[in-house]
Amino acid sequence: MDEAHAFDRTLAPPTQQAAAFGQPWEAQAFAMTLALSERGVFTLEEFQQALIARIGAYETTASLAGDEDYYTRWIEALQDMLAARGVLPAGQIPDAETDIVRDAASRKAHQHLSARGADGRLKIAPLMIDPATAA
Amino acid sequence: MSGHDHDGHDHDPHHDHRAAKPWQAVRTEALESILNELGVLSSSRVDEIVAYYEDKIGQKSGARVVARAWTDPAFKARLLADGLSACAELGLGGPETEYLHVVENTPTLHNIVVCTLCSCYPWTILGLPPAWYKSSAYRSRAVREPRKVLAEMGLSLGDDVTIQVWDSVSEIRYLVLPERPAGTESLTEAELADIVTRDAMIGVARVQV
Repeated sequence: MDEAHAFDRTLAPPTQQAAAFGQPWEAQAFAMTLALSERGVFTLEEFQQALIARIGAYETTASLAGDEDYYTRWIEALQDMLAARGVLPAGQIPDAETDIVRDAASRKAHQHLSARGADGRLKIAPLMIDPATAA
Repeated sequence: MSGHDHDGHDHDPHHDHRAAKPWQAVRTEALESILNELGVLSSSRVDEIVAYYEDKIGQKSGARVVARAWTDPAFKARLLADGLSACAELGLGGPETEYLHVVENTPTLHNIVVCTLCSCYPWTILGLPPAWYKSSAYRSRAVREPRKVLAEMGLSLGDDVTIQVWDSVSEIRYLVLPERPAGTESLTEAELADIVTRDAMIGVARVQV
């Protein structure tokens, strides 16, 4: 870290109403960590040390510029803790990820098809209508 | 379901402009699904925690603490002596904070909080830290040239003001008690809480009416 990294004003919050999390996976990673510490898999202090190590390693060559950079380190630290505790069978991650990507693709294909009529044009219409019954 | 592709010119299903799910999202989902299946955590508890941090707590809790301190001198004295116990009087606090030290701004003393190593922050009172708080730029520069960083963030302090920079660590978290702005004598405690911002409680802004 050196002076070359000017403070990025765009990182400053525009209002105090800013959302707590930028992207849903950031919230999910954060909450999983708290849930695991509630279960005693590790303490928050132990996690914090893992996070400090990951951030420190990252900052030897780059700098954290925003939530995505930060929570990416968070995920790395979380995996470090899970590996250290031996609670995560190593081989399972690739399979689970394959399933998730495949399910997401099939949902997207379904949405693509159901969003368009036979002519390929977008259908913009209610899925169902429950009509008013008052006279 | 939102996010339909409204681009009527592009009907080619092989040419999809929408970005794929980021790998971090896939990884997080995979971890949760495996751990949930193994019974190491429960997905419903994860959802509860997300909802709690997104909706229920946040800077409003800290703002209540500040407004109470502005209107109740005895509370303020207790807050400065033992931050966690005083917050507990308002039903705030929790296991994430072991020690909360409240630092008071005056016309000649300004406090600013940073976590140089990662992003230690009083979550239970301020919610989650903003993106800039976690950035390398803020974390490295706030300790080296706080006056300049504050000016860049829109807070220009006179040269008669001393700046104290507090390094938040896992054992001790800090909360800045900002100065009560002039002209707020007639506001109620609730009205005061409305004007207290998160940034003021980190020490990078003044409270403004």
